[in-house]
Amino acid sequence: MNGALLTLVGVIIVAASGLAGTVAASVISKRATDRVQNTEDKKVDLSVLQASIVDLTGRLGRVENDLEHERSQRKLSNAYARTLAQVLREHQMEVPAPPPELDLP
Amino acid sequence: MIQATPMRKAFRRPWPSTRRGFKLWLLAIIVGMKGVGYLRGATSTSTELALQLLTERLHVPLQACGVLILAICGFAMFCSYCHHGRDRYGYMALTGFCFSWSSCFMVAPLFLDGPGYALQGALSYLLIGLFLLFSAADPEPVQRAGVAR
Repeated sequence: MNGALLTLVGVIIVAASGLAGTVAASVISKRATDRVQNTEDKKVDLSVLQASIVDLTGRLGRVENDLEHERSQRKLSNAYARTLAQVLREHQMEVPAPPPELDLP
Repeated sequence: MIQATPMRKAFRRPWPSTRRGFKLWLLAIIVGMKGVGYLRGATSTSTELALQLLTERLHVPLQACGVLILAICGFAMFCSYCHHGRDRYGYMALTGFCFSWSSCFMVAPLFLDGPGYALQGALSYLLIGLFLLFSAADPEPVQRAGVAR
C-alpha cells in the first residue's frame, strides 16, 4: 500500500478509537447515573412503604381498642345475665336460655 | 438525570468534592502536563518519530497538539467540579482523547515505519483511558438537599 492509504487507515483508526472511547465512557457513566437514580427511587419507595406501615399500625391499634371495648361490654353482659339467672333461681323462677351472642367465657 | 450543582458548592474547595471528579481532575492534570510539554516544544526526536502520523504524514505541529490537549484537559477539569451527571462530559472528552492518542502512537510502528518503542506510549495512554472508563463506572451518591458532605 502506498503512504497516503496507510495515512488514511491510520487516521481512520485514530478517529474510530477516539469515538469508541467517548461512546464507552458515555454509556458507562450513564449506567452508573441510572443505577444511582434507581437506588434513590427505591429509597423513596421505602419511605412510602414506611408511612403505609405506620398508618396500618395506627388502624390496627384502633381496631384492637374497639375489640377490647366490645369484649368488656360482653363480659359485663355475661355477668349481668349470670346475676339475673342466679336471682331467678333463688326465686325458683324459670331461667331463660342466654342468647348465643352472650355465650362467652 | 443531570444533577445541577450550585457554583458555590462545586468550587468551595480547590479540588473537586466528589471522588469521581477528583479522579478525573488528577488525570486531567497528568495529561495536561504532557500538553504543556508539547506546547513548549520540549519533545524529543523519539516522540516526534513515535507520533509520525501527526508530525510527518499529516504535518500537524506538536505545539498545536499541545493546545488541543490543554483545551480538552481544561474542559475535563471544569467538568470534574460538577457533580455526578455532568462530570461525564469530562470523562467522555478525556477518554476519547486518550484512546485516540494511544492509537496515534500505535499506528506508527504497525502501519508506518515508526519505532517499536512507540507502543510504550500507546500502552500508557491506553491504560489511562481504561482507568478513566473504570472510574466512570463508579457511582457517586446523589446528594440530598440540606445534607452537607
